[in-house]
Amino acid sequence: MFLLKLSFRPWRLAGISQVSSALVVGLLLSMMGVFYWIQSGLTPLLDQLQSDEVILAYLTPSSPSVTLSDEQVGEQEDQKIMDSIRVSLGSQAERVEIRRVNGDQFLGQLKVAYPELVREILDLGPEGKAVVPRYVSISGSFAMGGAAKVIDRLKAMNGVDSVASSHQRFEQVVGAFRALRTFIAVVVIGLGIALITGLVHLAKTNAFLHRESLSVLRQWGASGTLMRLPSILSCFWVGALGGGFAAIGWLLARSWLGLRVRNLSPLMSQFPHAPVSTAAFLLLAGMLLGLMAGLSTSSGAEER
Amino acid sequence: MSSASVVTLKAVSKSYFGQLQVLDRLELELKKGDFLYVLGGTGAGKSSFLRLLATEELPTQGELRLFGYDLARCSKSTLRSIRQVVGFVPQNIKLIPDLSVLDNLMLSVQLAGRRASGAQGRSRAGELLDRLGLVEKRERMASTLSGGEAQRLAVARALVRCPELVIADEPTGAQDRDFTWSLMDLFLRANTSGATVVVATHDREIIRRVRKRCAIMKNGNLHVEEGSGPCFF
Repeated sequence: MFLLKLSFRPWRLAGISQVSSALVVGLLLSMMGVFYWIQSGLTPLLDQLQSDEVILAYLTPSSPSVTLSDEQVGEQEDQKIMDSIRVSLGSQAERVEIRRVNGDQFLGQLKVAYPELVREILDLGPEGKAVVPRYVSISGSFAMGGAAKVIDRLKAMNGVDSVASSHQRFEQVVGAFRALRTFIAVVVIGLGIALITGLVHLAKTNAFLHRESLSVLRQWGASGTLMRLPSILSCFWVGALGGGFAAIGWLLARSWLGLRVRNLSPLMSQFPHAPVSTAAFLLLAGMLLGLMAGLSTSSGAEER
Repeated sequence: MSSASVVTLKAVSKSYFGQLQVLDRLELELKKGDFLYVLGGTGAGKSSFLRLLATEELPTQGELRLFGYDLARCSKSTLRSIRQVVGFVPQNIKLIPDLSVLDNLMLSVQLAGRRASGAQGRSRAGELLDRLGLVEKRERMASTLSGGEAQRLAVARALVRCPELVIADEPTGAQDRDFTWSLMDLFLRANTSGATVVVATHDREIIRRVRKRCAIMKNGNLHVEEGSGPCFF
């Protein structure tokens, strides 16, 4: 009980400095929490971007056995190509959706956004239909590297003119997300180092404020552990208060944070919510860091 | 711990910064139940001598033994045990300002271990506070006491733990006559109970009325009067 009272000495002598230190601890912990949440939320997003793909195999405009006027023969040829694609996919065929889009269906989709363009194409007559693409769409989750193999097989297939994939479109985004994740990890580590450094300096200041009491305790025969306790507890209180500030800030701001992040881009619409449990982790982290800082500077308390 | 000699000094010297010698080859032996006044002018080395006895410092040369243990060679745990049976009243009073008057006493009791704990310790603390006129201030913070009150509290704190060795450096310097005799009475009671007592003082009235053995400190040398009779100077 006496040592508990002693631990509040820095708060009596330099209360503002203790509270401001706790605020800084809270701020740094909050930032670490936010960055960690973003970094961990990017991981499933990245996995999804890398695994879910849409591959478009554009069919050759004029197959040797197909004439523009013989749509039934064209349909049979396209069906053969689709069967070839299913065979080439192997076991992955069960996990993906394969869909054929003919010229009329393509124009139907285009008409939604560009009706004038569709009218102009139709006005061209048979020549217009010749430029309208037909393609086979393969969409779903591919195993690691599976999509690239599928693309290679499609390119080598008869009847396939060219192949495009969403992977090519999202490649830069994936790269940017990876770089962001790495950057965030570095920032979190840097913030952690700054936090620990600040707490250790505060602990040294608090140990100095305890020196008068320590000399008395030493004179009365207190053990090393008892002499260390006031300093350790002083730092623990700062860490705990800082963790408390961070936890409260997290609870108050997590909904707003989640909304802001998800509204950044359609790609982020599935970003996970900021979990409530992070508040508890922030509080515990503050306590632990305060305790560690107190332990780091109290080892010299027991001198002869 | 050995009970034959409580304090033994053999050729003990103390210097600071390698140059300033304040104590020069002191020789002294105190047995259980001895009472010694340490006299001397300002700067003679009394406080340095008492700090050595109180284990606050170690001698630069020579051998200092308390309860048979060489302080320079004993372990930390032994040193801690020795400090638990020593009651020291320094000249520069050091109280714990963040604790109340009573808490300062009770913490001293607690740190003394099983020697003076629990109800016995609380009872003794109350008695000392009453005798020293501090009972009404028991809940006040130690930092709010006057110089004289702080000195009395320091004496109470030293004696509440039933020490085997009492060391007091000018314990009555800031006291009026009534409290001076109250304090001396407490030292005498401790001595009667078996404690070895060493008191540094300038107060000739005390020395005259409470006749005990004397040691005179001059220029870092200690001259102990022979026998156990009252000192003459």
